[in-house]
Amino acid sequence: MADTSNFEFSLIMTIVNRGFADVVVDAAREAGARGGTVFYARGTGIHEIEKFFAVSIQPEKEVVMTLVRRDETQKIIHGIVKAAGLNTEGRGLSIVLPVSNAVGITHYNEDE
Amino acid sequence: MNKPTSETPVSDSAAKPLQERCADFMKRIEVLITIVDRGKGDKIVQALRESKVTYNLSSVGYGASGLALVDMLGLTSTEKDIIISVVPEERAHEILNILLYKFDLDKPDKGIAFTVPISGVSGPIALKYISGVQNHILKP
Repeated sequence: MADTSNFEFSLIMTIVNRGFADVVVDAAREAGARGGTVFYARGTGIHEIEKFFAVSIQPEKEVVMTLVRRDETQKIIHGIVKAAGLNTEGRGLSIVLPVSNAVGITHYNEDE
Repeated sequence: MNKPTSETPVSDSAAKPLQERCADFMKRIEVLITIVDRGKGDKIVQALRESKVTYNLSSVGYGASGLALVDMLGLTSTEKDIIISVVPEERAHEILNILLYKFDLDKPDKGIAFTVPISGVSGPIALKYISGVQNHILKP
């Protein structure tokens, strides 16, 4: 069993407009993360629904989940915000969740 | 799973007042997120059900790790299943270990699983529902 007990992890969830998940993943990878998982979602925010010829169009979103080491969280989230934050076209919103247990993370052991 | 299941004697819990019976399942709970290759999700859910984790949501997703070049050549299978479940805090470690050994998660590219603590639930019925408490505990 890979020993990951020395590390504590955080989960960064980033919600971006659809098509910008790659920007988030690339930024996270550049800042030290190893990748991420993307799934599709649908935003229902108050400013989100646009009327288009009287047909309301739901905004399509992508959610990026990135599991990172806790000491690297700040660095990676800054990278993500810089590349796909609210001021950019991706309109990204990131949250960080604490991870209490994790298994299956093998790539951090390869370095050492 | 050949574990003895004598933890909740029905006759005993029926005698206690509702508040105490509720305290039995008012434990800290966590969200378990499992990410595996597409198609394996059902097996994960089945294994979780066998370990008495009854609230499982399955969704599709795409992995974004691996080398960009290999990705460009189309050699990687990036399609994933995401399973979101709710587990009691004291069983999180045990359930992660079950997943680890059953699905070889300690090998690279087999998938990951982790738990995130929950800080609130929208009421006792929701808590009962997501933590999979059987009805007989609530009913006198």
